[in-house]
Amino acid sequence: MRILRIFWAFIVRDAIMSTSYRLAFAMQLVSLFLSVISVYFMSKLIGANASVDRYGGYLPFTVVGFAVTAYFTTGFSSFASSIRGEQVMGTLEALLMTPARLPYVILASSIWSFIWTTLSAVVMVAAAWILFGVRLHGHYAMAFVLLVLTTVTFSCLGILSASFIMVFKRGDPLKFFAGSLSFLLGGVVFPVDLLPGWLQKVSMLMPITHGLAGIRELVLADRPALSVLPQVGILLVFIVIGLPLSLWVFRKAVNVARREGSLVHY
Amino acid sequence: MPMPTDTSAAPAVETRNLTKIFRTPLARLRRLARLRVREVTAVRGVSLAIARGEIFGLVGRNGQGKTTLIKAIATLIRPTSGEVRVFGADMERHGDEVRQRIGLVSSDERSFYFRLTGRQNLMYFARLYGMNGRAARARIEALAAVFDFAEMLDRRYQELSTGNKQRLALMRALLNDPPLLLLDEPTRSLDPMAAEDLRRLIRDNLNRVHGKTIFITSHNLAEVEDLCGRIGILHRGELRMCATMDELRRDYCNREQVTLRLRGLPAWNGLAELRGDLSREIPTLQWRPLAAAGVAPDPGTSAAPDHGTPGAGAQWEVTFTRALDDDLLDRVIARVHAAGGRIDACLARRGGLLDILGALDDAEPQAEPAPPRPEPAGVAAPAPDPEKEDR
Repeated sequence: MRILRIFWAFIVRDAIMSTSYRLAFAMQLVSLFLSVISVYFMSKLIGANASVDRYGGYLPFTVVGFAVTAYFTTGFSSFASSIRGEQVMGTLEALLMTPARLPYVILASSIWSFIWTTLSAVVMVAAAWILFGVRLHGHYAMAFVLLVLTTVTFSCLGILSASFIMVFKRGDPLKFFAGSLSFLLGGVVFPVDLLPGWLQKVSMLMPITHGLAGIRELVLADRPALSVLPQVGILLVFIVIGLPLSLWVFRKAVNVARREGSLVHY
Repeated sequence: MPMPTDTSAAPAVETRNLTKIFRTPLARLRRLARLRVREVTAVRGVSLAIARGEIFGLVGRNGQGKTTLIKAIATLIRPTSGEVRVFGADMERHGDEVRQRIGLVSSDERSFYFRLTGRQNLMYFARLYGMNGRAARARIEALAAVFDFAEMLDRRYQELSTGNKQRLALMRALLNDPPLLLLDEPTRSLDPMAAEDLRRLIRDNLNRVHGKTIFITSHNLAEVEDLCGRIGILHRGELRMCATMDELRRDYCNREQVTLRLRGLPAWNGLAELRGDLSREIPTLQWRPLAAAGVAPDPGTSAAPDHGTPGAGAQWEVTFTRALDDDLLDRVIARVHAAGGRIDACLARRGGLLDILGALDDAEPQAEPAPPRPEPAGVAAPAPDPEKEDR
């Protein structure tokens, strides 16, 4: 019950703050429509391609890529940006003065970001469907499982990133790994099999590659649900190692900040 | 880990040999890399016990460790060594439970969400304290009534005045009705009337009616003297004194300044003789003319020669300093009466915290906090308790 109250506290707080900037809120929604339209014209330029034809073409491939990657990005960045936001606003001490347990606070601080990402993903897919007739079909339940698992692996990286921010305040090196490198190697806007062989092997080390490929197979290529079990296994390995490790590192980082008296520094 | 059960007899706050040394961030890594590590000892060996229901004040110049000490008690800063207990519970092992019993009001305005209203801010923190919506709303309404804040509750935080922001901070600290309040300069930035209102609220309502233990730091020495049963003085990170105001005066400032308002003194030679006698006996004596029957020169200035004396009926003010246990006041009064004068008023200003702080500074001319001490690479710093490194 207590954890639900903590989650609800963050959801209400962030919803009020986000919607209080009404113009920005509306512009973000509009920009989602515009990005779908841009991808449509890029797909016209690219035309038919064997690598993406089994997914229904470049437009569905990329829309799913963007929508799903948004979750991964949120999983990675929301914790650090939330911590950074509390530092800059000066509310981190007040937050840590409450008896709310640290892991709950960490998880709750990113809930609104995930809600917003879900809204964005729904708007993107809906825009692709309404404007260009892109339909998703297949094993949604298993796709959802893959989505959650991949997001959790990114969240592990995100908590490590937040630990870095807690101590060093800025200049997070993990951002490169989870941001630019994942975008390049994870197959967000082009299939991984277009990469040179050795880079394809490197991309297999990244959780996004497995999550994104599995989800596309399930909702765009009509593959059976059990065909993605290898991806599920790989992601579970990432999580079993990454989640306890990242929470432990974050607790250490908070202790370092408490020891240095730098909770309010930014 | 469950709270220790038998904590009823424990003081509200207890620190034992508490020391906090701030080092350059990542000191261990820097030492490994043979880089310079700087250290500042903010709090040094502070042992302190604050009884339940007490109002305890902590004073000291800037940079003497007051905020560090209060944050260490609030679990926001981890001590380098020593121990902090709140109602008997060790903050290292029972941090969450300790925080449940503490309300902190910091002097920093940046501890709320500026785009939320006062009510929304309080609801947010109430939920983090585990309160359900109904209980939180009721508590906020009740606090708003006590703090006369009902009309301000639905204004955005960024629109509130400094005084109202401070009230909101106090309301937040009281959301879960903690028995201990840590107030770090609560009246800083408040106008005199708002500060007085807040002091009255702290003393009359929170302490006397609700029995809260209050730990307050302030640069307003009169405020601390007025509010606090006991006062601690931090000087260069050390707790130099800790006692009631009367005890501090007795032990560290055993003098008072006396001002007598006189009238009916004799004119001319009689007055000059009285002044001469008293000035020889009391070197600190100063004469100041008040309303005069005639011309009223200041007898203490060369521009007003001694014989330029007003006629009988002039009023004078004499000021001198005496030890609390001497008979100087009796002797002055006797001399004035013997000369035919009357005493209209007698004011005594006993030494205050400012005098005591000044005495501390006089005793140690280097009143500024110790500057960061560069430490050559590889020099072993005082080893922190390894148990405290991880929670």
